Amino acid sequence: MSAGSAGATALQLLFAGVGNGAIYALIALGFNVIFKSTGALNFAQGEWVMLGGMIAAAAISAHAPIWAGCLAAVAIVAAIGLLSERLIVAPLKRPTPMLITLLSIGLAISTKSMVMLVLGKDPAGYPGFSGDAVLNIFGARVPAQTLWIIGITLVFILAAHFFFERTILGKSLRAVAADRDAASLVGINVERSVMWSFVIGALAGGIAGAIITPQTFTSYDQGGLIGFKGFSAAMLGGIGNLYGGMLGGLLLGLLETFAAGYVSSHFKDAVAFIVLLIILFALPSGLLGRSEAQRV
Amino acid sequence: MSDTAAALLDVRGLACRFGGLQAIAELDFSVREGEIKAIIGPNGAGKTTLFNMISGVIAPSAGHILLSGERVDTAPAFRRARLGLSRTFQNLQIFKDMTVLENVMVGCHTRSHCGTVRALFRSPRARAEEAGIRERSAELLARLGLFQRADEPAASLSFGESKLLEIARALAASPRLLLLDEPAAGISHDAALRVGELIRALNRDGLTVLLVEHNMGLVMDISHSILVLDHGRKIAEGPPAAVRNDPAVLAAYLGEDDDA
Amino acid sequence: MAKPSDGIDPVLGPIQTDARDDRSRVHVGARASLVVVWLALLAIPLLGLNDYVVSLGTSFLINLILIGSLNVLIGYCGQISLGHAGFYGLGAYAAGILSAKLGLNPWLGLPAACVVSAIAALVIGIPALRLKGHYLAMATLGFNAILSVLFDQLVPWTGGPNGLLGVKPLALASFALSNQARIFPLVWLCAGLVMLALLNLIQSRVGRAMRAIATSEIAAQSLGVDAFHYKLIVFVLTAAMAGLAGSLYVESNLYASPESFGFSTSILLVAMVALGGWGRYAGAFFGALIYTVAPELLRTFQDAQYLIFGAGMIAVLLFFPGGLAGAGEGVARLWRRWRS
Repeated sequence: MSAGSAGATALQLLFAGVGNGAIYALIALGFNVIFKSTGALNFAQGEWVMLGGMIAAAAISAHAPIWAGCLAAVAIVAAIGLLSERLIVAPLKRPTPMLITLLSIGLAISTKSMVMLVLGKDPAGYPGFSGDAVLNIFGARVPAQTLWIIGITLVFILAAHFFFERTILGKSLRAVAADRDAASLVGINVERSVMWSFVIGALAGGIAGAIITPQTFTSYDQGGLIGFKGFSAAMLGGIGNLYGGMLGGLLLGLLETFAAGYVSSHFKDAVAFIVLLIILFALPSGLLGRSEAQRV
Repeated sequence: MSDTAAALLDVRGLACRFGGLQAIAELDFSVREGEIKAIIGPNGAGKTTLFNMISGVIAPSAGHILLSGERVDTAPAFRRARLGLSRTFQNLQIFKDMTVLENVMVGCHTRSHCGTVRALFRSPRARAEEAGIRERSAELLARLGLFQRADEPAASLSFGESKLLEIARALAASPRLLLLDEPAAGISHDAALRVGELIRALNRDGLTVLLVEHNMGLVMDISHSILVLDHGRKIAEGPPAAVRNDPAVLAAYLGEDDDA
Repeated sequence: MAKPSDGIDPVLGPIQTDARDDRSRVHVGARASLVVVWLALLAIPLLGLNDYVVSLGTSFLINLILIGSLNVLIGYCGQISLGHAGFYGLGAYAAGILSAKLGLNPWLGLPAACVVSAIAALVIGIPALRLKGHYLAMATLGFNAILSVLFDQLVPWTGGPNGLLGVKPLALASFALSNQARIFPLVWLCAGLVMLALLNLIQSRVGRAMRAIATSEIAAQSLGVDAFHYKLIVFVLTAAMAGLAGSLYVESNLYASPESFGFSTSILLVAMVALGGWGRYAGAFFGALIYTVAPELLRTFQDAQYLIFGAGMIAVLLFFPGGLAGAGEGVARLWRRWRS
């Protein structure tokens, strides 16, 4: 292999890795936001990603324009996140992390089977936002969709940053995440914060699903694996750390893609698990995380 | 002050930082064996943080904690319990899914031994130990006036009874040093008097007590020594009479109303 | 021991013995019920029912080991594992491979399955349980996913997607336990021992420590309970039990295939624990019953099955925290009140 094409291959993998990384970053963001406000691991996160893709595919196959289908899917998934919180989490008398984690498992099972019943078992997909266009960047073949993914994710991250740093709602979410009691003492509605965190989590998941589907196709049973990968990314960055999750997502995407490209494609799915094990063994706080002391 | 009794607890150069906040700084004090020492101070003085460091919930950022001369600041909380340290919690940590008696039985954990294998097979030794644990726990409940409630779910106890249950549970571990986190908070004046009596009685039986408390009547009544904290630092230490009249202490408390 | 303290109000006199008798009666009650249920179950093959019902009985008992052990881990110890089916599969393949590929005596498969699953649990548990939070759930999910890949890909050992064939049946001298009625007593015995051991564990000092950890780890630590130690013990023990269930599965079916041991099964097992009533001893029986019988009853609604389970799980967690066992207890209480 000549130096030029080796470089081109590497560049190609780099773009693919960043593209995948962007998706994991979005899912990790969803995990982290809900983790920060409830202490629970949201097992429905992966199903929300799957839902984003499946609903968009259904809309588009019903002749909606691709953009409209995706936007509709994202809106619907966000609404589902909101409903889930209102109907399932809000009524809890003792909303312990364990209970919410278990409920999210029930939610994941229900969501997956609902999709199977309503939308069927067949894989679904649709063309990318620029059709199936592929660009040539210094010899690397980069699908246009990959650039869309990276771009949309960056916009979402910037929007999230703005939301959490500049808006009152965002700042109150951070306050609740830092100290529930102190936040409620200054008049912040803690319950509402949990609701908004579910909306944001579902939003992130829905967007991730809608933009990745042109590349991977999706089906009712894809939620579990992708949710797990998003969680690994969050752990890699330090669970609860929003920016860490993005970094973790990017790293995971790159690791996976390079492993698949240079070692074996069979390994791709194993990378996330290996990463998680290494984190648990060696670096439990992740790259950017801090260990949190429980207050009594 | 004559040191006829050895120091059971020694705190040297203790400090604790949370992010940018110095919750405790350069703290030195001792608790002598057999005494009742109270920690007081305005809100935010760092009292619960101090307790959490001594009992092992939080790690200090500097300094040493010694129990009978042995360093414990790096030891996990459960090991400190085995060395004779027990505590109650300001935010009650009752085991709500267990009965009142079972709560106290958990307290007997350090003084019992039967492990998993014996438990799985319910060996004769395990059964005998269980009977002993049950009896001891029942006696402790009786001492604290909770025996009638022994088989009821711990969640059904009133706030005051729950506080007594936490004390009974902490005593079950046969501690040498008992840390009481605001034992009189949120209960009636009479109940607080009874708690004071209880602490004095336990102390007469040989228990060393370190308590955090806001109820000044109780503190002045039962303490042999008082430590005053303000903004994470010691501003006074000594017998009640001395502390009561210490101008620095008065300033710290009165200064709270001074919003300049 | 404790001296009467002066000035303490109200010391309520000498320790009343009737309260203690009452409670030991409760303990005897749980044990007695277990024995009765156990003897009743033995009737299944003896009633000369057809092979299908007996195989349901065997499945029920194997599922009881699975769900009973998982219930203790989740319900009593407060640790969520989404890899229980993985340990189940490890046990099944370990036992199966021993006789099918290595030609060893199939009886060795039973302890081998326990050991293999226990070791795997140690490897996953040690890093995952050191941390506060429900990381074990994700770690076990990933672990199960990896195992599924291994079961699928290591074709020379596991037979791959087509499954493991050539498993030799257990035999007592020349009497081969090669049909459902013959293997039933063994499965019955193992399940009985497991459930008895779990009951003993729950009612012991270790069981109390476990439950304390689940409710308030901080308080438990302050009372000298080494939370990591006990979480690990329970995790490894229940994994070994799942391994045992796996070996019994492979010996009663003489076959194993990867699709029975995926993380979807693990998730379903958690749902069964919740539906049965997590943290309640009887919950395991209800959970295993639903898991065994529901697929048969819901055969026509096969696709809707999972929706029913998922929605049921949510309903239980929200409205019937005791699950079916709790509902059963409620009914029993009402019955007692009605009779008095």
